[in-house]
Amino acid sequence: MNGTMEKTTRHPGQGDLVRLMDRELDEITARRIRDHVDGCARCMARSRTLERRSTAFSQMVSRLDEGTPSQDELARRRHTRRAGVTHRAIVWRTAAVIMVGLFGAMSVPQLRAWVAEQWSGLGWLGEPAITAVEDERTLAETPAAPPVDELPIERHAVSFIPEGREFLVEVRATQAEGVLTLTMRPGREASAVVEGRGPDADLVVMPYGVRIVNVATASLDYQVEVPSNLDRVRVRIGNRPDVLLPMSEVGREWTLRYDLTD
Amino acid sequence: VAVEAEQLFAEHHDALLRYLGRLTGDSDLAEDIVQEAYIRLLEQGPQDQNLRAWLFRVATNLVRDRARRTRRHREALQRSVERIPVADAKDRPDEAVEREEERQIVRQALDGLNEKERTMLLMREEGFTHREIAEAVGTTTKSVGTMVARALRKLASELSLDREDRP
Repeated sequence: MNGTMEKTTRHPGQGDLVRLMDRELDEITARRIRDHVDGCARCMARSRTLERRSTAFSQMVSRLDEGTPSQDELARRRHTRRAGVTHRAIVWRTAAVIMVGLFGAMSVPQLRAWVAEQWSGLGWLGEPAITAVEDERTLAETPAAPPVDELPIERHAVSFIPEGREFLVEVRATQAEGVLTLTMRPGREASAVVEGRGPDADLVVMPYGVRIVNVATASLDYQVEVPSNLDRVRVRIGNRPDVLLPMSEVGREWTLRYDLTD
Repeated sequence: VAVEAEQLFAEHHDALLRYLGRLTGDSDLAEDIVQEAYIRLLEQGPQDQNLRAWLFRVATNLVRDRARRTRRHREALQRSVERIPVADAKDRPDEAVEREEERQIVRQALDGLNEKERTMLLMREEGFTHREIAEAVGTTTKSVGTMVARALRKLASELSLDREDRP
């Protein structure tokens, strides 16, 4: 037997499910349909299929932007990236240079042996020659890492005044690494900042929140500030279930951190 | 007025260019339409409280007019499909070819939709409301959801989006 809601309400159409997903329904209708979907396995599956298609489409269509942009666009992107390099980005870049240098140096057997000789506590560095040969072979087969100075470092921000009583923070994909920080603050303005190494993510401002169009291989962090005069915040990360955060105390400030990795 | 228009326009320029690039598959044509929309803004001023929606609607109409008038749109789409892959300096050649192939597959799938469906999906992707989308394509707000679902189903079939092992 299916759920009670399935017996008492009609199955919503595909259009209704899209409107529900896009927050296009009034509160009463949205609640009625959501209640039905929650209690109806068939509609839950249809709803998830729609969401999966929608997310997949976002990811695929963003690949069209990777073509050959106009000169103006290239200049604009270069300018944005230069302007966006922060202290944190400089630290990352420096750390990456040091790590690449160390790994590169340690791949030379003579150097490994010399280091091991100098510091007897690091005996594991001076392993037998056969290991070094194997290491060399492995390294030769491994594609070269991109030059450190080509690592894209992104930082951009948007701010806006959201409409409606519910604020949606949507992160399209879970990532290789990264954190979403959500802060509730006084005032009417919302803001979102993306920062970290590429591939880049787009911040799409919507009337009722912000959509972060990212890809799974990204290593980006996001900071979203939400005005506290709203009723609630809905957080949607990849295919995880939505998290609803009530905001009962106007003016109250808090910060939540979400791990974006699976 | 011109300074104000320029500021308003600059705010929406990147999103509009991205949308038009996706819609037409031709970055030069997209840039042309962006400039034309800007001229309309300078000449007429924003005809709507919602400048962003107005700009996208004007730009969508300009794309439609161009396509009707000269067939350049279709030719450009064809060229973009047939374009020889250009390697990105950061990519290995095989990766660049693979990415170009992926782009062509997505492009062809988008071209397989009718004009309304394509416009709807791409405007939705830019965060527009169903009412704004409906005004841009000339339909009712209520039918947008149904048409979006249908367009997504077509794409899912074309691009195997429903496969569990999709990359």
